[in-house]
Parts: sequence; C-alpha cells; structure tokens
Amino acid sequence: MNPELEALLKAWDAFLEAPEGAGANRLQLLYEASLEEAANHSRTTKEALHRAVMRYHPRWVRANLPPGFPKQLGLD
Amino acid sequence: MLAPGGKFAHHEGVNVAAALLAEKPVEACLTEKLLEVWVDAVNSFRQRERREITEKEPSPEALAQYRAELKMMLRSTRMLLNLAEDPDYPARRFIPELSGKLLQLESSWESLNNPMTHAEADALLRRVFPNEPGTGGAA
Repeated sequence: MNPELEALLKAWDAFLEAPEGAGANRLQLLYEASLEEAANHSRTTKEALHRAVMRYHPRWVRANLPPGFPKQLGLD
Repeated sequence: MLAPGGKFAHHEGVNVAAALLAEKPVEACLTEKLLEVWVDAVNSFRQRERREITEKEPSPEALAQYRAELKMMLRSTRMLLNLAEDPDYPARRFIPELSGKLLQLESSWESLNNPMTHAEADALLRRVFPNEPGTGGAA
C-alpha cells in the first residue's frame, strides 16, 4: 500500500479509536494536518479526500484484521 | 438528593457519605458520576460500533439500529456538553472529554452519511496516490 495513504488511514483510525476525548481532539488535528498536506500535493480538495478516506477506511480495517479473525469468531 | 423524610436517597455507585466527609458538594459528586457513566456508555457504544459496523459488513437491520442509537448518543452528548459548558456547572473538567467524544460520534455520523461511493473513493485515491496498486474490491 502507498505509505502516504496508509499514514492517512492510520491517522484517521487513531482519532476514531482514541480512548479518551481529550486525546481525540488532538488526534483529529493531526489527521487534519495530514489530510491537508496530501490534498495540497494533488488536484483535489481536502473535503473530497476526507470522504474518500472515510469510505475506504472500513475496507482497510477489515483487510488488516488478524488472519482468520472474522471466520473464527463467526462474524461473517 | 433528598428522599422523602429528609434522608439522603441511595444512588448506586455514589458514596454520598464519602462526599460529605471530603466536604465535596453532593451535587458535584452526582454530576461527576453522571458524566463518568455517560463517557463509559459512549466508549461501550463505540467499541460495539467497531466490532459490528467497521470490522464486518453490517446487515441492513444492524445498520438501521446503529443509525438510531448513534442519533441518540449524539443528542445526549451534545446536551451534556452544553450543561458542562455552563459557567455554574460543577464538573467543567469534563468538557475536553465530552467534546472529544462528541467529535468522534459526529465523525461516525459523517461516515454513515458519506455521499461518496466506493467506486468514486477508489478512483480519487488512485489519482491522489498514483503508485497505489489498488484500494481493493468493493466491500
């Protein structure tokens, strides 16, 4: 996977998964900064890139689950 | 809170006697307990969201239930944050915690109502990250 895209997905995931609210505020700012940087390097808006990251995020999470995790737990 | 007869009512998890011994207003204790319980409830909701909505493809029924619950969590968290932001409210230290939880819940709502399709997202990500071999098939 493209390292820049992976970093963006990880930053978004870290914000979503932050156990404490105060930490979530800080992580959201970090994600926003990464998003802005990536958008500036391409001909797209920050908003559009954010929507794409949000849409792709669950597939990325599922693809990175430990091997056998969903089937073993019968989550499929 | 006073029960009929002027005695302190019992509230589970709230040690009113300890609050009195510590000279901390009972009202402040109850308020803090309410906010702690709410933060725990948001955390439990988000853990379930991760397991049932993010980590696997949810059924239409599960998604509908999740949507209704998320709306309720958003409304209630906004209400509690408004209360906590009142200058006279005795638990203002909870503001950063509640505002962060609200931000996460709002992001969940935004994701749930994201108008971009999988195909549009894939096309945009391939364009922005040209050496990306592919973002994978539709989930």
